[in-house]
Amino acid sequence: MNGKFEEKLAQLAFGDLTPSEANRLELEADKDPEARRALMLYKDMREGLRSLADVPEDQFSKERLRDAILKQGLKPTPSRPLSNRSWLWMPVAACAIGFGLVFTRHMIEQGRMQTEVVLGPESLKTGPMFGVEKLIAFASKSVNLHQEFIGPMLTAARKPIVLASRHRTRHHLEPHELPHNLYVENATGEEGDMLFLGPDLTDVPADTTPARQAVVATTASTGPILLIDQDKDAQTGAQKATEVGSATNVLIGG
Amino acid sequence: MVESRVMGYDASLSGRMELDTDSALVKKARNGDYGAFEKLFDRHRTLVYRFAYQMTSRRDDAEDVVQEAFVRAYQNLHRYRDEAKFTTWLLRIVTNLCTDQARMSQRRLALEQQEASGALDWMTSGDIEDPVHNLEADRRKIALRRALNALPPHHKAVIVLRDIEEREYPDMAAILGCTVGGAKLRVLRARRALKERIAPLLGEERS
Repeated sequence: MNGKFEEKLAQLAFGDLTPSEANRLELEADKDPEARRALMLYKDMREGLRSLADVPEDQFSKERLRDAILKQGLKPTPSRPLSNRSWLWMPVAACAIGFGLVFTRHMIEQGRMQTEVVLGPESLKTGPMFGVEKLIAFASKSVNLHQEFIGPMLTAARKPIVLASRHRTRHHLEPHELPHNLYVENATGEEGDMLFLGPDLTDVPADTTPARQAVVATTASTGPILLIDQDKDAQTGAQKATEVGSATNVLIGG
Repeated sequence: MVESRVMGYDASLSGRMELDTDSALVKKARNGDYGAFEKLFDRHRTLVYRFAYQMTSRRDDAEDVVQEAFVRAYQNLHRYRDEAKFTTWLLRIVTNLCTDQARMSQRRLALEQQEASGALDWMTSGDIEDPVHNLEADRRKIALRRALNALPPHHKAVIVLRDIEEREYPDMAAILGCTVGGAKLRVLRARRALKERIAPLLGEERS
């Protein structure tokens, strides 16, 4: 008698089979003495278990329950202490650590952002200033714009120049978006006084509006400001850069 | 007139029935109506006690379990979801409590056996101190009870639910937190385990 057959016998004894299945299995069990014994045993078990259904009368009282509830406090409380639910703290801790890392990184990068990259006046004067394929600039919310003409701008594009650190939202100006006249704008934004490098606002079509938001430097910045010249260093071939004290020194009157 | 009275009667009856459902009482109890919780206690304490008694085999232990179950139910009423029947939820609490209690009892029994410097074999059920229990039927019942008590709590719970309390498989599945198929499988395994324990005794009797 295999296990599967024995399971069937148990189901038969406990009434878990359909009548047709039960009849078929009974006939089958009749032919096998071992199966017959097992079936009898299961039937005895079933009867015995049913006889256990009687229970002595309980002696409950509402008062007893009320006392027990009062003893533990009437207000519904968590059933288990916090220590038993430590798993709940795991995602919370993970979130906290993640937030901490992001925040720390942000703070570190904030420190780095003290150095702003701007275009130097010499480049603007001598040109060709924008001998680049793309002018990558910041998108910024600005108010109180004031424009000053700096100089002409050419659009013969070759290499991109990144005008700012990576924390600002950037806008990639395609060569065809670049205006021919370049202006600097004073603005007061959330980050303090700012200088904007952009096109002649009056000449710019509506669909090139992002070009008006080319942030050049933050005058509130206390760190050094790099002026990137168009001329390359003869020895290294890298773009020349000059450190200056503040953006105000650089751009006004450029 | 008659129609309106009948309709009025129906409406009030259905309204009362609505108010008296377990869910309605739970809602009231959650809102601080302790009387509603006492109604739930009155309504279901026997059901819970029966199951607890079968699991513990001792009236005082069963009563402790029932009391603890209702205390926990009260304290966790905010966690009860209406999708499950209140009795199912309650029996799940009782099952967990009984499992814990059984583990403690097993440890206690092991300690008692150690102290007695001998194993208490359930098979030796012929040694029954109470003469009343010498009746054959009672002797078999006691033997079966001991065999049942010797089962691990998870086997015991399914035997009690299915073969003593005669609960349906879907109900059992909800109480045990498994599928219906899972409940059936558990029952099969538990019965086999019980049979292995009881077979030697019943075999002896037959021979």
